[in-house]
Amino acid sequence: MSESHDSNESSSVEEETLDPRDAAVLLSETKRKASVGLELNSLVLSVLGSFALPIGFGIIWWSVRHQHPYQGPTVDAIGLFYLLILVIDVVAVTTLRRTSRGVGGQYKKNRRMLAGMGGVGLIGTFTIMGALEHAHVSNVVVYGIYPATVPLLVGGLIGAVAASQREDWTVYFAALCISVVAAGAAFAGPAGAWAVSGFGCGAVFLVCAGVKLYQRHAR
Amino acid sequence: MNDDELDPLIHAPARLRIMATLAALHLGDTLSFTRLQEMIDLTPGNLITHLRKLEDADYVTTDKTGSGVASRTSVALTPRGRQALDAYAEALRAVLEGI
Repeated sequence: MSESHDSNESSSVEEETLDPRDAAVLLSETKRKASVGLELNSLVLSVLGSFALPIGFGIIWWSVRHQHPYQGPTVDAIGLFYLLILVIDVVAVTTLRRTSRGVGGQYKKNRRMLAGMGGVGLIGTFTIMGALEHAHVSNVVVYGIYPATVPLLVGGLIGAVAASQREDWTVYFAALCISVVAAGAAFAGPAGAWAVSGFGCGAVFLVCAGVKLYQRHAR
Repeated sequence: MNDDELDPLIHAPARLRIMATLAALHLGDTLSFTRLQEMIDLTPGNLITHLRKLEDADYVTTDKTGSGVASRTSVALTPRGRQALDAYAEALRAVLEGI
């Protein structure tokens, strides 16, 4: 036990009597509060994704929608996109830190494993993009179809692994849908891929947030 | 069924809240003593006493890492504790149906 805490009051712990009806209320209320308090806020993150993805990818799509031939996103659009990513990262990390405070054991091991997967996935994705550019592959692929789809495809799969570890099947299914939408978006062409990925995945996040909200109220 | 058949170790407000809170964790996860204390709003002394009773019954495990002021205690529900809570909830349902 935590030795830094004062245990002088140990002897004065009262054994209150508990009516079964009060016990049932206390049990369900405590379970509900604990679930909400310890949930890794997939609701907040889903809401965040539901507007961040359409905005971020929409900015890029807006900058490339009339390009013939396709050149790639403008510097301004890329700057705004990364600014948005930064803001989302800060909000997501802050939210996760708050809810996971004090949670350890298997959760921490899983988190380290996922951080490794995420890091390799992110670096690998952009390394391949560099390799494609180096091989003089068309801008349609290097600055269009590839960055508009592959990061989401990889992110969705990593999200599915994370959700399966928590046995959160709503998020697991949503994460797989993100990957499927991203893969399908590749057929929309270099400009269209940004729009389909952004709005399609935003819609998946929105549905996921709705289901999470429903589940929270149904508890 | 009457309420005498409810597990007396769990059928106490503080311990019921401890068990229900820890049951919200996933299998293999632990919760720090401090966070648990915040969540169920008990004094450290009370929490320690209740945890000892639950630990004696093998319903919870506590694990202390570090020493001195840097020490950190984490708490988790054991599989036996999870079973006991499920059985308690089941028994409680039966009692309420009989009222």
